[in-house]
Amino acid sequence: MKGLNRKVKGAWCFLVFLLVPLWAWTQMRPVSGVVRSAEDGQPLVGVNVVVKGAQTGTVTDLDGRFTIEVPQGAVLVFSYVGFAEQEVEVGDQDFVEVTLQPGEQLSEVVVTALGISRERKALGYGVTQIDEEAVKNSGETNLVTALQGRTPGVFLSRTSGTVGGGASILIRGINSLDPGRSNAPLFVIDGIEVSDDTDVLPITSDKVSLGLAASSSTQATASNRIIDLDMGEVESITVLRGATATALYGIRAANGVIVITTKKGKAGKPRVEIDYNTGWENPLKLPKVQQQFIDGHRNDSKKRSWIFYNWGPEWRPESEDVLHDTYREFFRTGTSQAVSARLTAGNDVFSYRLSGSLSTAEGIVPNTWYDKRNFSLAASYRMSPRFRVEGSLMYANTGGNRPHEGRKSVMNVIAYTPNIVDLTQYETPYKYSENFSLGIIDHALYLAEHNTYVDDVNRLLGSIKAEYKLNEALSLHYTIGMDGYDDVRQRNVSPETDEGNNMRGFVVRNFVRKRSLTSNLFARYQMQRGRVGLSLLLGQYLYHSRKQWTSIRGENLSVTNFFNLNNTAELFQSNADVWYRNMAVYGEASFDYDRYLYLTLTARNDFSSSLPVANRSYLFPSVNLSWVLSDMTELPSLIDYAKLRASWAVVGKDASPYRIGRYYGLASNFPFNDVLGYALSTSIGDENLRPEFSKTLEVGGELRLWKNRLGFDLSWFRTTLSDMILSVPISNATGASVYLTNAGTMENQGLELSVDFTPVKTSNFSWSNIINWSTNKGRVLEIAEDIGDEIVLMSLRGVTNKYIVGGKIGDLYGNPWNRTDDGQLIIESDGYPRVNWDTLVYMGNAFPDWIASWINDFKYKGFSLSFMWEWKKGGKAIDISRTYSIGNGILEETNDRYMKVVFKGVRLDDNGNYVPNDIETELHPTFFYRNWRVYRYAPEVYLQDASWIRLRNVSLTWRIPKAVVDKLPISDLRISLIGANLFLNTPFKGFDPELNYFGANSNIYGYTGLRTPSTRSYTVRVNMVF
Amino acid sequence: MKNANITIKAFLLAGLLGVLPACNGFLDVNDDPTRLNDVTLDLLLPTTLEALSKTHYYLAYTASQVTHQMDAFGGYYGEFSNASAWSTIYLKGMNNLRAMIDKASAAGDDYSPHYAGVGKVIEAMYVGLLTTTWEDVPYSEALMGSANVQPAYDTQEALYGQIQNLLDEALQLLDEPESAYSPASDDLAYGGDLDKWKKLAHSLKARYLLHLSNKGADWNAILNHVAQGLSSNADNFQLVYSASNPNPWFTNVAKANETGNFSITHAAYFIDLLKGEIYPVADPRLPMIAALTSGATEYIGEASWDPNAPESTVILTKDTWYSTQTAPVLMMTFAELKFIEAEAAYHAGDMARAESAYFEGIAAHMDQLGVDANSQANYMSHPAIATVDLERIMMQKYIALFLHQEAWTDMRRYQFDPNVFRGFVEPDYNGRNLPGQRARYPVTEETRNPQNVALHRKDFTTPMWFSE
Repeated sequence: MKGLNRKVKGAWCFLVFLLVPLWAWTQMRPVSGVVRSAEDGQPLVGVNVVVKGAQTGTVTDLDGRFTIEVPQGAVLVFSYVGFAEQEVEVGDQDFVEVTLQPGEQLSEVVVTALGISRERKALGYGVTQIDEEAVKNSGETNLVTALQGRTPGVFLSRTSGTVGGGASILIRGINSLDPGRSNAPLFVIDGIEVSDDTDVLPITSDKVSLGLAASSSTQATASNRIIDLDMGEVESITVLRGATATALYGIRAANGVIVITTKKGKAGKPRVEIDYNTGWENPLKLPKVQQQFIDGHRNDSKKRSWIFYNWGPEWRPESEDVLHDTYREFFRTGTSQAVSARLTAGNDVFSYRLSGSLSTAEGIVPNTWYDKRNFSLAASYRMSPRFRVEGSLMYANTGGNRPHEGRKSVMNVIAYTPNIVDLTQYETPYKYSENFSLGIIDHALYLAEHNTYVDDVNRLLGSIKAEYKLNEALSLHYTIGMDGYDDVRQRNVSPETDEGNNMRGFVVRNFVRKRSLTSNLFARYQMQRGRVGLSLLLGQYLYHSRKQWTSIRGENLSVTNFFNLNNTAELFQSNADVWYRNMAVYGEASFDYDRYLYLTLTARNDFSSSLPVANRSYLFPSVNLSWVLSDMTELPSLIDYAKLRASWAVVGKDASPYRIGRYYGLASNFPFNDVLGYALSTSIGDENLRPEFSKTLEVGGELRLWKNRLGFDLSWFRTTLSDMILSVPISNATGASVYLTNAGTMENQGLELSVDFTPVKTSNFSWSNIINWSTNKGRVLEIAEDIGDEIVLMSLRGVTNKYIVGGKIGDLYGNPWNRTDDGQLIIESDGYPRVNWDTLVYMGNAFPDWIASWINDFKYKGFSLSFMWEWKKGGKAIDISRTYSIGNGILEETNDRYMKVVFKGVRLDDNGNYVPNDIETELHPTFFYRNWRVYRYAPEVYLQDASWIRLRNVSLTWRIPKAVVDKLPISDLRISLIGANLFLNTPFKGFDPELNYFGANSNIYGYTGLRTPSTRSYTVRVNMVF
Repeated sequence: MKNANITIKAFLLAGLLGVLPACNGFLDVNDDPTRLNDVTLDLLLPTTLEALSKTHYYLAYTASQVTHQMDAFGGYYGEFSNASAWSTIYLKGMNNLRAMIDKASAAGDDYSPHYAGVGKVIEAMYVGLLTTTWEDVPYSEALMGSANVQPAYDTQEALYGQIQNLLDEALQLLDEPESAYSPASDDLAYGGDLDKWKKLAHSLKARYLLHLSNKGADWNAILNHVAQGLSSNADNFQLVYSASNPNPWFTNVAKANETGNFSITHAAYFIDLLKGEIYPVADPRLPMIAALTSGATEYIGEASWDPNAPESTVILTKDTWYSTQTAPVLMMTFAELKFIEAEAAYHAGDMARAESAYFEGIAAHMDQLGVDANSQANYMSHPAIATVDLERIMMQKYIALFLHQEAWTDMRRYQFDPNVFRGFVEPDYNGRNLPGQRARYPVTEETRNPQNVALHRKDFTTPMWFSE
């Protein structure tokens, strides 16, 4: 400990020493203005405004307005795609009006680490910035899903089609071999780390085992917490993909960073924006329920019996049985409404922004809903020309009814429900034991209406940001903020359902509380000597988080359907309290030569609470180089801009809290009566654990041609992760099952390409395209010897997702049918093939070969049309629901039942030789479809190509002509139609394979189904500005 | 201007220095507030006892299928590995038990031989369960945590030696007059009654000596230990369950049956035996052990291996004796000890002792189930029961050991001999016509400790050393 404190003090001294000689004084002041196009006089949105030589800047808002801090005698540089760069001397003006001429220069500004805006051309790594329009036009309510297709190198997976459902995001693939580690990126809003946790809590009774543990596969409806954010407050999102881009975040950012900048108050007259939207949604893709046979077995319909599957006689039109398309009839049309009001006002000294928004949605599963209420206040105050403070408070109240998915959920019971059952109604009074299956399978509607899981989240995000400009060159920045949420959930389980029947129903109350605090102080120094520019940065970072949860379960309801803990006879509890802290000092030195060669060096020393005391301090360096050839020398006139970049970085990842050493915790099944028992943890943490290291090399280039009409941005990277912290499974005979130690090496390699193309651009009409394409392959290089050579993440229904040395991340193995050496199917004497349950063979990879998106933007006068195609090429998945619905004779795929067939393959003849198969057999329900040795869980049947092409979203916006608007008391009016998932083309049978069976922040891929289906949605939006 | 600079510098410096004291201990938050670094002995004994009982349930689940007490609805048993029992023994039972024994044995003010003694009795039992299930298992190199992640295996012969050593040590420790701490209400089985633990230790010595009957058993030694063993049903070593901690047979079998998740039920052989098809006498225990499915009038056991067998009509429910919510899991009973005595006396040639022990054993089990005295007398006086021979002794022991691992051990000792277990037939099913002699090593062990497993892996139907 003492040594550690000395190190921290040392770093501080270094910082103070550096600051002192740089003390000086120059006046800074704000300048605002507006930028218009010379073509039509319309304001230009997103124009980059930078102070010449200072590398700082801003962009214009929707009205073409901007505000920027300038020193005396400053020159502002304005640049915009398709327009000539223009320099304006500010002099003593407070307001600058600029008109840009069509032309060719570009000097885009992007938000980088720590929220610092920098010119894109100075960056030696790939970065993507997504603006508010793209977020709005996505038609999404979850910020994570709004990123879909907007940036290369990012792989999104949704976990449920329910309203408010979760999603998770992988930046440049899986970065950890530990099945239990999160690969989620860090989210930073205005400099404050915010939670995107998906809280998966105990929701079941341990009285009866139904495969419903508190796992991500059953709680996929749980939201990832970034959903709490009001999307209308987002100004821009920057996705920092590589280790160089995130180097200043150190150990906190090993999985990439998503930097979100929210909207602030702006100088100018008050502006009020009101937005209303309403939408509808329907299931996108449902399996086809067979309409040929009824329930029962062969010739007997077995209504109200324990034979609840659909293997009965052929349906006859004259029979009294009404056939139902159970999947289609069960779902309803989901609806949503949202309204928001936002006010901005201010002057040069004080400006603020106030906003409120309300939204409510009802999902396609009856009785599911999700509401969201957001209020926020942001203000900035310039106390003196040198000192500025900004404060913001964002409050969110979100929640809904989000019943579990997976086993025993509505999606599971429909896969068991024969087609003669009407899922739109049930008999009342409903008795589970007397329903269509005599109390084995729930009626889906009763289940949906009675077993609920309602969450109520209150979240507050508050931050203060202060900037002190000591002089033109030196500034101090301090940001402190907290993110806190309380999530109270209640799950009701009716005694008249499968899950609650054993213990006469139960109630679970879950309380989650998370608080986190970010404090970040840095000093920035910038200078220019002739052709050489220098920028230095030094800072200190503190992060604290604590998450507590308590789960109380009460079983055995006395009064039926009175769901309160007061009404339960037996109470059980579990709880957790997880602390984590991180501290760091960091620095960056950035040099440029004549504004075409940029070199940036960074270093960050991290101190982590979750590592052993002796090993908790680590230094991570990075270097990146940007070389703008087009600014260095004259290139052929075809080329407007050409840049090469390269970077190298080392970053680390620490352990999860409380994993070092061994503890005693409350033993399972205790208290036993009234006696307590404790048990040693079955996981042992290496007392000498080190952080894992990843070294990333990234090279890339940017090229812009044809008067900026065509642009390319290419990145290649290779990340080698060594000393990976792994939960190594060890022989249980050691008294433990897992040993956490540094034990693996892997490599991630990828290629990311962005192309933008503007084939048409006239004053009235323009058409522009962006194509994003990326591929990423993770490879396991080494797993410590005493672990063996593989790590199994999941084995379900004959499909195993595991890491093998030399294999790729996402590899799927399956139990094949028995085959001869030359690959012919071996048919047994009963005429069927057999699954070899003792052998696993490679059957594909869960991750796509590549993903691509194609974004189109058309503008014609006041109309703009934007749509995005997405293509996921390759990647396999098994739809878990099909193993039930086919085994139960529910789907059309079973219409060949009782057919006589001869399987193509070979059989053994009497001499023990293989001869072509000639054994005729029947596709019998019991011996074929329901037989796990033959067909039921055969991976070769169920593991399918999960490629797809889809029209992810379309938005058409009409900006009402000024002539009309001027007659109304408003200044701007837009009407938009937005559609999502309008078209899907996939060879995958069953549900939309996009949903991951294992929920948000799970590392298991390749399984889908038993999720609330994904939806096709339509939204109408009206946007008014006063 | 200069003043302003000084003010700013002072402000800045104060700010920076102000942060430093806060850094003291800032990072020392890696201790989980919900767990402990060390615990007392009374917090470990309940854990290992509960795990021991759960292990008995897991092992009986498969053993009872091998012995045809039970059969699976879904098809006759195949090769099993008992992975749940393996992990319960090593990850919950023995690791915490070893921690308790080490702590209790440490010399000093806290030296607690009574806990150490109780611990060694339990450890002997765990070793017995391990070796009768998998034969060779890790023991002397086991439980060393990360210090030895691929422990070597001990042979069954060595393990049987260890069992007797542990029980001898236990008896000495339990006799020590002073113990800093002694088990009390944390002793979920005996409530801290050390005499009962001593009786149990002797009973276990008798049980595990008898296991080696094919290796030349010392019958008199067995009988000596029996004399010092359990003396009534009140001494039965068992764990009693409750509404809040229900019996595992209730949770996993009886309740699961009610929700259509059918697993196992009484096998045809066992039902036939109780209803008088093998010996011409109906056993009054039958309705207590098996319930009829709705509408059924005749007891028909499951014969899943026989496609022509009639549909079974028997089932474990929340009302049958072994699977009520609050039923005990029996780990060692007075009845079992009496049958050990009967068998040993029979082989030692003391027929009088064998006979009286035989009847006492039947009565003990019937008392336990609540069979009234009249029915007991009628049953025991029936000629088919009253003639005492090895076959009768073993058959009555087989009934008294319903849902217990020991029934499997007994059958293996007599090579599933139909002359001892009358009418027992191993079916030819799915390519196998020999009974299961062992569990396979769990897949986790096969993948995590492959070299050692390879040295000890044997076929499912290969007899163990003890039964050869």
